[in-house]
Amino acid sequence: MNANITRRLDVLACACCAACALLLALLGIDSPLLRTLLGAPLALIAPGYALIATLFPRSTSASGAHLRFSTRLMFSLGMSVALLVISGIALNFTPPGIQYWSLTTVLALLTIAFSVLAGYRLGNISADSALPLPQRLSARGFGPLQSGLIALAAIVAAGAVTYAIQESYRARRASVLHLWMLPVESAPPNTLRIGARNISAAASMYRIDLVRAGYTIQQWSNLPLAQGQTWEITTTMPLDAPGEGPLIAALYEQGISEPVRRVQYWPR
Amino acid sequence: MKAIAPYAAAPALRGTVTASVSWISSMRLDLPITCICIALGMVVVSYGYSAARYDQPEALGAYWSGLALIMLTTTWRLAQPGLTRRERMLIVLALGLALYYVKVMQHPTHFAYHDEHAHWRSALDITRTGRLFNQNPLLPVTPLYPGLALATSALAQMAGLELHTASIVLISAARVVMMLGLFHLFESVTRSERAAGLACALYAANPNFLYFDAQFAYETLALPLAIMLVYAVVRSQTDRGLANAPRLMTIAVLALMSNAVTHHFTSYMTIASLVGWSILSLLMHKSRGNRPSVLIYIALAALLINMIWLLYVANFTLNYLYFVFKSAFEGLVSAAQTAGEGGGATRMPFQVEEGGASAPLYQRLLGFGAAGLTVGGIPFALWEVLRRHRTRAIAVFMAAAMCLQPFMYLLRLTSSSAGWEVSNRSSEFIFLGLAPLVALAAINLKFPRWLDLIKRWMIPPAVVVLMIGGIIVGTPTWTLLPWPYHAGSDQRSVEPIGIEAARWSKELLGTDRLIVTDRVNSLLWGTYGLQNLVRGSIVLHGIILSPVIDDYGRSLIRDTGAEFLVIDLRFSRQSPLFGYFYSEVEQSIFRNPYPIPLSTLIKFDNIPAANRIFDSGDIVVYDVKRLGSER
Repeated sequence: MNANITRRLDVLACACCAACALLLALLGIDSPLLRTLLGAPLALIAPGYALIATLFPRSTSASGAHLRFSTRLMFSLGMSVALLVISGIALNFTPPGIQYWSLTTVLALLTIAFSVLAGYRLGNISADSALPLPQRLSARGFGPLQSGLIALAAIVAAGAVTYAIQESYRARRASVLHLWMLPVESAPPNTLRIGARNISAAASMYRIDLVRAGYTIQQWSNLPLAQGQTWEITTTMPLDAPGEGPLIAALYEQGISEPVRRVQYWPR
Repeated sequence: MKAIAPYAAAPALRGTVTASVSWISSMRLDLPITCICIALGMVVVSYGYSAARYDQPEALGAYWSGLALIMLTTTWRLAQPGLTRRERMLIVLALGLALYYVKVMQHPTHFAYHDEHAHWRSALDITRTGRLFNQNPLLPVTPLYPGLALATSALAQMAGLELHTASIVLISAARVVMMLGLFHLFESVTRSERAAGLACALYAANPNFLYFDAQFAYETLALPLAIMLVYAVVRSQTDRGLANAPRLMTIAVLALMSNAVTHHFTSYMTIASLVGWSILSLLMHKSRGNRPSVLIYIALAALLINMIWLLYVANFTLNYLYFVFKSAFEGLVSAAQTAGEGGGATRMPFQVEEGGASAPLYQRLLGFGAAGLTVGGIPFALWEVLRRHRTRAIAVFMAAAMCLQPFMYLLRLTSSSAGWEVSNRSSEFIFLGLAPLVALAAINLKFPRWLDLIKRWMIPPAVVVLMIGGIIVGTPTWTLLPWPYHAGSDQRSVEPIGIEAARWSKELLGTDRLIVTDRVNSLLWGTYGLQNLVRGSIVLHGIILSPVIDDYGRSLIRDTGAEFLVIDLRFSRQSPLFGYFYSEVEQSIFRNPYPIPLSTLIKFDNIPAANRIFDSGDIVVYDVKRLGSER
């Protein structure tokens, strides 16, 4: 590969990531995977890395600016977050505001600009002084045994987190059954929207009674509510409905004599 | 094998395979085995969390064991000589990330803490409006410091992630910055890789590291940025760094700008540190290594940037912080005055309310042990600074900061909650000075050989005591693990029934409705429901707690403009572990109010102007808009 390109491979990668993310945003391409693969690095590492590469091009000279890999990584991440925050503050005062495409545009342009500058600065360093990319990145590998053990540790740690996630979902299961009765605003008086939803309770058959002062005004029987299912109806209380006091909607579960849920509405 | 400075060795290393092979062969199995032990510690903690979810008795033991395993192995390795710099740094990174994921595993699928919900609401508002500074009904100051919410919303939008997932990714990145920043900073101050590694382990043992500085809240992002910027300034002071001063200042200024808009207290502590360090540098400038000019420029820049933000955007912060510190100071004065008169304004550690259970003996021993170790390490650290680092302004400044720790413990002995708050929030800053100096003393101070051996074996358990004792003192046990649901108990009360009720409200009632509810349901309705909340209405909450409601009560509800009351019927079955359901004065208004009688909670059933529009069994919602229109 051309030596000029080899020396600038890291900043070229930043610029390419930024350009692809920009195209994805501006063209409105709907690909969740690409959006994650390009958007996350653009938000968290690329702008900062390009900025640090501009400020600290790889050089061995005493007046040059050399950073160890760990320092470069720390500054790259930190500066990316800083640029993300500062860009967002600036965008707040622009007409588009803080949106996916505006954020991506600003950060992509910053990354490309810093990458071009960094590439230019690398070109001004003599071949003898410039450090090659593997040396610059300095992320030399471990032996196979060490790598294997560290990978095992990472897998075990990931397993611990996965186990915690599974157990959290399992333990948080609760029987959630809703009943509601809401007045419908733009409708004749005493028009009500009655609904029931089974979020995570076991599937069962239900009955809803609409009563007033002991009189059953309406009844909806044999309502199957499986998990995740909603039932809803809009009804108007008859003007000649018997009794006084609130309208009460009671939800009965098959086999249980007492209502499991109760809502009420005082007619105007 | 001593680490080789890369730039000095580069001409020899470049293109030399032999040197690379010998470098790689210097890596031993210690690092991988330490990583495996850390991972096993995480597994044990995860098991402890799982046991807690089903209220199993072994939960707490497993939790402490897992934490102890993580800290013991890392501290043991880091305290040993003979590790390469890279190994130490990787262990420090693994430690920092492992402890972060210990916190994530506590509630891995949702936000649980009070402050997390407040910042989540800010992030939600930024995402849905595309603008900053939206009013936040959960914590009014958070929109004025939008750094974290903005970064999270931006990452979520750019990467197509859920906000909760984006928060974990962002904070993981911030944690990497933090651990690398700590290592570099401590290495610069102590001039020792070994002391730097041990200092990082000591810092990770500070009471706020595990939970408070890992939660989704603004300090979690601001602190790593502050540490990075302090390192950039420290580096600009060194011989080699002088040539890089303008570049490092660029980094520092950008970090200052992002920090100023992220967290008030961290910014002000950064300013205080830079100014204090500048003054010391000026006083000591003739000594070798103190070049105050860059430092002064950065300190001035920090002052300017923060003043601009404070004056033009966030002037509410002054009031917000003033009352906290004022209350803390008054508590301290009051405690000092009453100390000889029976100590009415003081509070003994592990003091419990009448009828409450006292902390187990082991917890009290660990708590006092942590305080004792912290205070006990200070004289040794001071001696080490006096011996070898008294000409270095940064070391002297850190030593001075470290000496504040005993005063912070005194604040905890006041009965003022603000005093406890100030003391609790200071540890992560004070430990930035305490950790490297104590680590330096632990490594450098020479004792008779037999005592030296004991010292080497005692360092890891001492760090474990420091960590666990600090957690015990700063965090109630009922919040440490994900125990089963309990009413009025912060993160233990965040569960599907409350969440689904809040989601229902967003779908059926729309957003931005004005709600009156208790502390925990406020968080859920403010985030899952995107509703507004009637704030600061102690009287209104008192109305909800009274057994009857009269015309005066109705008029008060009318005057707040409240549209809906959200009542949690589980308050009739349990007492709040947090201390209150609605507001902290409810116990003084109502004698023995807990549990709240069911008839009190559902008294609105008998009011014709209040419609019971929603029932989920445990949560009922009353529409009280007609209370506002009927006279």
